[in-house]
Amino acid sequence: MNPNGKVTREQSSISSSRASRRMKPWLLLAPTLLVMLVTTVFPLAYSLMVSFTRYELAREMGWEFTGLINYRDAVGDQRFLASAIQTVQIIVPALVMSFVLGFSIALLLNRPFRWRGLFVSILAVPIMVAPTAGAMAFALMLTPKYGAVNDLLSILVGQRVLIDWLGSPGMAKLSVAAVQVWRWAPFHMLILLAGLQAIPDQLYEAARVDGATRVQLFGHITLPLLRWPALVGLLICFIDLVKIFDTVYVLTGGGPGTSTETLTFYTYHIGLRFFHVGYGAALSFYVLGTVLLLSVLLVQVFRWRKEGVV
Amino acid sequence: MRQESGMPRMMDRREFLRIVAGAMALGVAGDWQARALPVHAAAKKNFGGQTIRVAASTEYYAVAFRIFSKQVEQEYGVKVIPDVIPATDAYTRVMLEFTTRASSYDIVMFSPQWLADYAPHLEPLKPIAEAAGLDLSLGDVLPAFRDMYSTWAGTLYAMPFDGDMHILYYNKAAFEKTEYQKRFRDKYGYPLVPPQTWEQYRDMAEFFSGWDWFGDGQKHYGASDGYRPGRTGFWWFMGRFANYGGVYFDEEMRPLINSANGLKALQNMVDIFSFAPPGSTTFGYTEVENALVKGDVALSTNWTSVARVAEDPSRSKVVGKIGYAMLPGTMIAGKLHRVGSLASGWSLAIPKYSKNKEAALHALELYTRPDVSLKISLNPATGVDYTRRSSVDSSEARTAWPNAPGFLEVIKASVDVGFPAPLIPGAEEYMKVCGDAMASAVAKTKGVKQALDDAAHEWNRITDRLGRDNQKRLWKAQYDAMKQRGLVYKPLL
Repeated sequence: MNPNGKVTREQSSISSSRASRRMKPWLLLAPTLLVMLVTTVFPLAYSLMVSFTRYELAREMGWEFTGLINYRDAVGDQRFLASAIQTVQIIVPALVMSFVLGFSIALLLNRPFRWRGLFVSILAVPIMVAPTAGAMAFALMLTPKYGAVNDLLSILVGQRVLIDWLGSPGMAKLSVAAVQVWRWAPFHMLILLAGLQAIPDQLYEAARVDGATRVQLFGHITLPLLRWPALVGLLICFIDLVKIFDTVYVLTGGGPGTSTETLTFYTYHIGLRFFHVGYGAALSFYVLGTVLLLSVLLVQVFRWRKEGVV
Repeated sequence: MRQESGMPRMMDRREFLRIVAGAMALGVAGDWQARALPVHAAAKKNFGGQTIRVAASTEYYAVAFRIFSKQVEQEYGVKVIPDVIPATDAYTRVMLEFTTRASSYDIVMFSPQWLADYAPHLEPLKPIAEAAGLDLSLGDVLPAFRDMYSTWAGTLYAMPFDGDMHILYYNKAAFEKTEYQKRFRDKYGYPLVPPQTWEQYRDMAEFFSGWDWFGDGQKHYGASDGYRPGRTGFWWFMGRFANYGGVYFDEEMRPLINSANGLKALQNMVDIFSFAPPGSTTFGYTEVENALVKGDVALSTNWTSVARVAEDPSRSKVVGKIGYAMLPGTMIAGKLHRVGSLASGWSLAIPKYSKNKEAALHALELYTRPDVSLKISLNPATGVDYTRRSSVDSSEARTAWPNAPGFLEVIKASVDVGFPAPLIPGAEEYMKVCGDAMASAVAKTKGVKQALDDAAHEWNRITDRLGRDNQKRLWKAQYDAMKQRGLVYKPLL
């Protein structure tokens, strides 16, 4: 301002330029924010609102605000609770086995040899196969009488093998978990292989000079440096596994009985098959909450480990 | 809505209604004429290549639509494009569109259990057929399919396309072997003839299980039924439940699936599962059919379309060896209670939201016309079963294979006392819950009583969710219709 209290042209120009600078990032972000608002924030907010209503999409009954009743009903829904337990029973072994298998393969491949690139590409094929197509192939392979798995076992043991892979609750869960291991082990392999190759050779050489054994090299260099790639891989895999649907849908249909019915499979039936969308939305928020909670917890555990708290 | 490029302009709803109203005005006076006219001769309207889409619930139904698509085009100038929607997804996919007051399809194929849910979105057929001068030959449709599976609240919304029911199949060659007959009588104390009751079915399944009665050097099994969870498994439970004298609800809408009738029906399934081929927990129509036609099992219950496959040398190892009977029954108060099981069925209807209703109606008329319906049902590639009296009585059907007359008699006997699925809103959900309960008991994750008690609890929740009073009223209407056909609850002690 000049002494008369009026804004000079120069001051006005500076102010305008500052405002422009402040706006620029928002303008650049605007398209992304808009897309996110439309595709993520709005549906999420809308489904949250629906979860507080009694809303039967297939019937002309209209909406009815019911507050937390859907959330209360879900807690008392035995089938929903059972599906939560079954989800854990399927995904925990799948997560552990796929990680162990992927890590083992990554260690085997972490040395130069001929055709290594080809091997890695072939082993990564399951990631590229559509989950439904993979599940359908397994459904055929696991057929007791005509399936490839029993045929192979029959050749190996020299007598007719007729294992009903999907016939009992335990075997069916195992089979669903096995399909997930087939799908996710290559993913862990790729991430961990990249992590292994990023570890500088000098670290190993220095440790060897100090007389470190192979076990010590693995325990004190390889494992700590793979912590973050492993965490990222486990997190992505875990979040996807909690949502497990396609394999169950194609392979077992939730059976035998309801023994392989998972959270998302049950939620799908409630919300999208029978159109109880209010209740279905409430169930899906429980699933979302569980995923968020466990993901945060997992990250926190790794942070505590890094800081030496645990 | 879809409009094919190069096609003539489609009529909008108002224009269509105007034409219908005009046609009705002309037709009222001459209504007797339309009725007196021979089948499909009244109107030979040409739609100039208008395209309609049909939601066909499996590939073999799509085959049926394709076979006669040329005839539809030649007679009415309507191009028919069948889209296959897997049967398991058909309800959801079509219903989802209906909830948005839209339909990608001009004809929808659906299972009649969904009629209560679909009805508000379907075009009543009689008025538009009469307006168009088309005779749907309703008098020829088997009454059970016409009255229970096509009509809702007194209005005809659909035409039966696939007249489904479950019947009993048995390996006649094995049953007629003197050696087996003697061994069976020695063990069970009564003759080896097609089972009259589910207890006999169990005994016979046990007798034939685990040895080479087929004579090919391999182990064979007793009986094959469908144990897949959900809607699929429900059909096999329903056949037993009905024959144990059960009905779905009492007059107060309290579930009766966990009554003594239900418990005995499910216990019978659990018992017989021990004599089923490996992998049976996931068996549905196709797998059960395969087990029979490959000679794996001596007994089976399944849809009537299996009979044609069993007589097809390119697909069957048991050509000429299969016998047919009604589903087994139960002795109640000293009398044999035996009914048919109208499992599933598929009908054709026109969504209110179609913009090609008149063309769709003409195509629908042709596909369900008596002569076309018979040809479709006789073709083993279609999997379509008889819906019309004239088909069941036709010489073509009777001479289709040597044992066909016996098969047709079983159909007639079964359909006359055909027990229907639930036909009230939410039927699909009631059936899924019940099918899941059956599968849980068979997989032994729950006991029989626990499984059915849990299912009954779920049924109550569904009823409450959909409005108990309304559900009660609609169930009463269904039960009254069942009573008129002699299908009443027979309590077991």
